[in-house]
Amino acid sequence: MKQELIELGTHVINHAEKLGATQVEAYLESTRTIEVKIEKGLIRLAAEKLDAGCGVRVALGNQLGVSYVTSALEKDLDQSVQDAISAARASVADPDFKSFVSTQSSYPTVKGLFDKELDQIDCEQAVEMMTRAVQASKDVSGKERNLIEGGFTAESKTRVVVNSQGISGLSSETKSELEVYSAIGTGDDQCSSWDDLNSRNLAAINPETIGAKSARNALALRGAQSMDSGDMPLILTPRALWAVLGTGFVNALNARQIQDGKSYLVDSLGSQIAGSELEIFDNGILPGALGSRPFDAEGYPSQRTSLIDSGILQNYLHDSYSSAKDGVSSTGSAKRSSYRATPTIGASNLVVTPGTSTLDEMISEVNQGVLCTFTFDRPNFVTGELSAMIMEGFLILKGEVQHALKNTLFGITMQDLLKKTIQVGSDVENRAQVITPSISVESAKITSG
Amino acid sequence: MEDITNLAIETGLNAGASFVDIRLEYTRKTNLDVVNEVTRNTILATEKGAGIRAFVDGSWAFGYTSDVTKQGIQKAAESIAKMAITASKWAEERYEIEAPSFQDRIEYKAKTPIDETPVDYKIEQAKQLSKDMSQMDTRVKSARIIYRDVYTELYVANSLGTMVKEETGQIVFIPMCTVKDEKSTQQAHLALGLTGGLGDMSDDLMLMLVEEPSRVALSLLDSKAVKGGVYDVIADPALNGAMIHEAFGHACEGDSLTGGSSVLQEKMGTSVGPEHINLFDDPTMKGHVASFVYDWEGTRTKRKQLVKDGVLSEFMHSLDTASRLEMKANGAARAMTFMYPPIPRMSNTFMEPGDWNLEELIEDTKEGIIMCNVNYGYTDSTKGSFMFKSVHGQLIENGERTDIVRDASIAGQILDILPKIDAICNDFFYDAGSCGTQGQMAWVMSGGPHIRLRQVPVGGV
Repeated sequence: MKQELIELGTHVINHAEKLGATQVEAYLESTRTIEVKIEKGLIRLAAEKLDAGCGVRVALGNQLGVSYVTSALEKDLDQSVQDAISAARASVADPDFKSFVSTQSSYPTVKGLFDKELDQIDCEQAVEMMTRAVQASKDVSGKERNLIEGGFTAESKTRVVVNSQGISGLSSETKSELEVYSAIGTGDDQCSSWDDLNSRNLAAINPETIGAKSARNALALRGAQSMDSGDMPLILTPRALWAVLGTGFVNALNARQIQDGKSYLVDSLGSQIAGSELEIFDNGILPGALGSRPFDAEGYPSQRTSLIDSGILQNYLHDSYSSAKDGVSSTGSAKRSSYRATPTIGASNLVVTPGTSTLDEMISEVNQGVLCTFTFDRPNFVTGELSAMIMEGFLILKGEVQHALKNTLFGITMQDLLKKTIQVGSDVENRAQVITPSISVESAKITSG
Repeated sequence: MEDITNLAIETGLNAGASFVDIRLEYTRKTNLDVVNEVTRNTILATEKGAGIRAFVDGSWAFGYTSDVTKQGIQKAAESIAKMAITASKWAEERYEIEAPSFQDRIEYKAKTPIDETPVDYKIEQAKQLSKDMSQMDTRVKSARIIYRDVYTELYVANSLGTMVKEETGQIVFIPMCTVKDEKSTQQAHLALGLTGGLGDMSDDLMLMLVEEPSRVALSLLDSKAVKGGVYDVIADPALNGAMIHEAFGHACEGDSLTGGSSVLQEKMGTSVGPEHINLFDDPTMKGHVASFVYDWEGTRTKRKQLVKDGVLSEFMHSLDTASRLEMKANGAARAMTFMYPPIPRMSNTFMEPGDWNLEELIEDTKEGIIMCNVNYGYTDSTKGSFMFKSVHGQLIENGERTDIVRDASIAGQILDILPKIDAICNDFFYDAGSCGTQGQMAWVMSGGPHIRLRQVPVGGV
């Protein structure tokens, strides 16, 4: 299939040029996914998905058109090229469009992106992984009712980017995710939580650890209460930072949003935007990491880009379009969730450099505050204001974790959150493209009721 | 097409499945993104293929293929049936899929059908809307129009004898306006949709697409961030609709009940809120973006009254959840595309209006906050907690509207929130939104009247 994808990509380029395209890009994927879902601790769905398709971008001068088709048959690709040309012809010329990607550099070799075991996994193995996780959760909850949900997904994907500017990239990558939700107890005494792990290789997924942790996380939330509102210190663990930094910070670095003035980090390059404790990178070449890849979604080589150093903002995240507009180099940050989506800008792996304090040490220094272990929320990207529901969190009193919290929110601007980060922990966790320890924020507004 | 669907069903049954179904889809999509009359991504897409499911003794297997030749379908159906047999070895709860079958053809009719209208025409329309929005005020910096349309031909067939072909056309407009003055930059958006063709949206709503986002964004220029605290809240129709959707609708989806952990698990037939509350999910309303005749399993859909006079009265079911809970399938199964298995979903979800006049309600509230529109929201039906974020709002002091505020969020527990609704207004509005569940996006409508909630925590900065 691999060589065939390159050939199909080349066919798309030739066909589009024949129809009058001045530039063309073909992005092809062939993916096999094995998936198992559980409900009430039992296997509910097993799935094998074979997906192959192509996304096409063409330029007629400065007019751009995009298409995709859920097929890798030549006649379907030809139709898709025709669609992209029609879309370009009807579009308004964009003076900011210069070119699709070209590069003089070769692609870096990133180790640990492909695992043979995952590539060849079958449904029965996946079921076995899942049942082990379920048992581990049950072992923790003992005799109590424990309604377990979750799933295991294993994906093996070959990506190809070919364009008329000389780009020709092929990469085979595997990844898997196992997640377990445990809802323990009944009625008002019911508590629930989850744990998950993403990895590019099967051996790294330990079903027992994930199952047990999801149940332990759930039990810790039992007896949740509200608390007194007020301004106080806030500790965010990696599980909470996945959304707060992974979305709330990364999206604000998107150079297209910056160019449109829709980010709280506009005009901040070179400025002190964070406490000097904070050092953050975007690292697309980290061996084995989930967001690593040899080239981005446009075929630009992956790299390691400094984002915050000693509290100073070093770079925005660019793709070919935004970098050409600003006259800077691309950071290789084009992202595409599939050939069915158009490229956007995002981080590869967001990496926060750890500090020296353990989470317990950070907690012990708080007289009254909140430990937030999970939230989903994202800020208003224009103003940076973040009001986040504490989905999972605890009251801290006199340096010790007290009861779990319910109906409690924290409010802070992202600007303050970054500046008031006074401590960075040593407890690094790698959660789906966000690799960070816990951080301690000097003060946030806690509302509870 | 029937030879293909029959082949899939026979192959699956012969391989040992007790129930088999197939969705054969051909979809054409147009996505436009026009900013200040300049097109950004103009996308024309084709999604076509077959999704097949097999059921054995309480376990499901699913797979899809874009190879819809006889050979491709046969291979997929056989492998999927075998997976179901493998999975069923671990099944404990055994039941069969039992449901009525349907045979029908629903044609797509529109004065200006979306599949026959050139993209040029659609772009011109989006450009005009963008131009009109730009001209609303000199402080409008970005007038963005997102336009999406989807034309689908879907065949659904199953081993119970269902064979339904349904053609649909959906259109959604999402206008977004960014305004800027010397002090700040603010933005607001709206989403309106329909099933039908181009030109089917009323003139009033077309005008609203341009005026409403710019009006709201301009009002936010003088806004303050809301102070966190416990407030009496008046929610506007959009926020009310989202709250019903998030806080209540998801807990009424059949699969959140079969999991055994929904907070509504044992509540059927019991009171979940005051007597003046009536909630519906209705895919049969003509012309809304989430309207359909048959669901993605080929079950004829119907209007569902989730809450009747404060009492929980109906859930939303797929064939699976209905069979399993020994209830009747009511046509709520939807799949994003053939690449996903159908699951119980909401469609057009709303609260029935009451008898309060909005201005009288504001006067009666004395101190509080009006919260409007939705940035986003989510819910955890296991914990019973939800949260959503409004776009804009206004404080109420001494019974009068005062300062404009932004970004207020509201959080709570599903079972606590309905009892807190003490007043329901006599107005009504509906808007479109996209809802994501289990990785599947679906267009939905949600709405209702203005309502008042007593003493709820509101998050601020």
